Amino acid sequence: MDVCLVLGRRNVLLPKHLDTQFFENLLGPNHRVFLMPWYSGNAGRYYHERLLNVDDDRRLETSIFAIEAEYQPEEIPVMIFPSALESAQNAMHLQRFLSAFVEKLGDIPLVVEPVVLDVLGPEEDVKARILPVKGMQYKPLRRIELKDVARLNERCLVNMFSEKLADDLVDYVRQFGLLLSRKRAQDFIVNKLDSFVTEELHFDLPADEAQLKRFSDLIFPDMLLALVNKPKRKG
Amino acid sequence: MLDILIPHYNAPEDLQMSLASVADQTWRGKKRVVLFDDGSTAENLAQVEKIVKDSPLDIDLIRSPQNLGRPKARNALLQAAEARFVAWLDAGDIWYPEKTEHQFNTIFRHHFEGADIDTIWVSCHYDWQWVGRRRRKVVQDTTGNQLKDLFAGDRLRAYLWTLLGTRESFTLASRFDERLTRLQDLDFFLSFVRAGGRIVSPGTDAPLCCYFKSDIGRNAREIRQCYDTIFAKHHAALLGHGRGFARRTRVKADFVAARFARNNGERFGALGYQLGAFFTDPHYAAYRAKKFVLKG
Repeated sequence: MDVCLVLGRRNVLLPKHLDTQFFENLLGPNHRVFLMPWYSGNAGRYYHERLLNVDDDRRLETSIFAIEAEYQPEEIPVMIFPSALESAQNAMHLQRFLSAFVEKLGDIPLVVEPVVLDVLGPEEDVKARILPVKGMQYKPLRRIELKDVARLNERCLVNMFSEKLADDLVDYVRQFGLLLSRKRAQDFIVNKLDSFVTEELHFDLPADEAQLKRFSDLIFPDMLLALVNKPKRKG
Repeated sequence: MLDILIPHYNAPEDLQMSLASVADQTWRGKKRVVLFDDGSTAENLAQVEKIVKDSPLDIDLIRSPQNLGRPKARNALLQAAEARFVAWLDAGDIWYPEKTEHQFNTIFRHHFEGADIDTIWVSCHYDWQWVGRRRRKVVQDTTGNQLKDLFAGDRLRAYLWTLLGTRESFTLASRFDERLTRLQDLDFFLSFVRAGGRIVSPGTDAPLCCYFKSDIGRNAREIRQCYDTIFAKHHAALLGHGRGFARRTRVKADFVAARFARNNGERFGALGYQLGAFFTDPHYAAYRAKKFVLKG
């Protein structure tokens, strides 16, 4: 069985703000993002990092079962692991998951096509973090250059900006005696940044701290005001 | 891989509509249609062959030199199925685009929860359309006592074209009873549940297919006799729910037969079934008569 793993950084590949079509366009024909229908919520169905907890329940068995049932022979299932290579511990989790995958497949050989984002650093460092798995074969490492992939790049930049600004927004609303979770803060920022993209205002990835501060000073008061004055939901 | 089993007899245009609905499915796995032509006329068979040739689907056409009848056709289809999963469709009925996707997701959810998927069938809500009338949604309620609900036919109905399951799960119900020229679905469902099978619903309230209903040309007496065969075959299971329930089930069968007779212009035949129902269970017959009058 051929499987494609997209490995990257959590602040770029957060599935909530990226849809499956991005990946399928990016990775080319025959690549199809694997969805886990037993999870609710669209994005949650391709948050594959849940599969790393292979001991918890039957998630791996059902994934293999679903892939065998739903994929045509020429199609390659894609799984996205946003933070699998961010630390040595995460890399070991991925190795453990792949070992379990090999074991569950039995006689069927597993071939993994690793795809990584260039933001992970030099190729040698990345290769060092992809740990070998007995009974499994890796295809040559494929790197995605963020700057070369305009559409994905834009979404990733929104994610990276929202990640950078989320803590600042939490602190900002706390000044007014309000508590906001980091996750919600990131959602609010993404929504706000999306409106910038619609207006063709683009983000500069290497923005420094001073630029980010000026930017947050500009948008936070407006966001808080919009939240406070948010029209009541109907029904 | 999914095998879609379709029996066909002298209705190429209806078949074309059904195949178009299969081609429109959002589920992206590999599917094959197994089409059993049950002795259609040479002209109709030629049309079917052209439809198969022009279709974007992978279709295996099995030709029967003579008309064997629906139960034998369905048994031939079951025998021809090779895929791990099987779904049914009758020529003239249609699936809505998300049907198989929802049903597969349901199977995966049950697998994830540890269920034995070879003992479940995934059914679905469906639209029911009488010729010349508006569609209405029919809810398949799988939460109750399934055996009782299948006999009663109010909350859970036995229609094969609503189902998707593993090929193995369909062997649980054995074969279609070839004595039953009508109502083989009901007998097949009852056999499945009696053998330990369970019917489950997909996680959507939307109807996933449409049944175009017509009673025209169907013999009321034949239908009533098929009911009797089924009741005799599943006698113990029927009586297990009490004599009163068994009596009411028989009366409901009389009313179904009366409807077929009425819709085919056999007024006296319909009256006969209604009178029979009245003598068997006057209370229920009066309730049905009242409902009929109020409905206009």
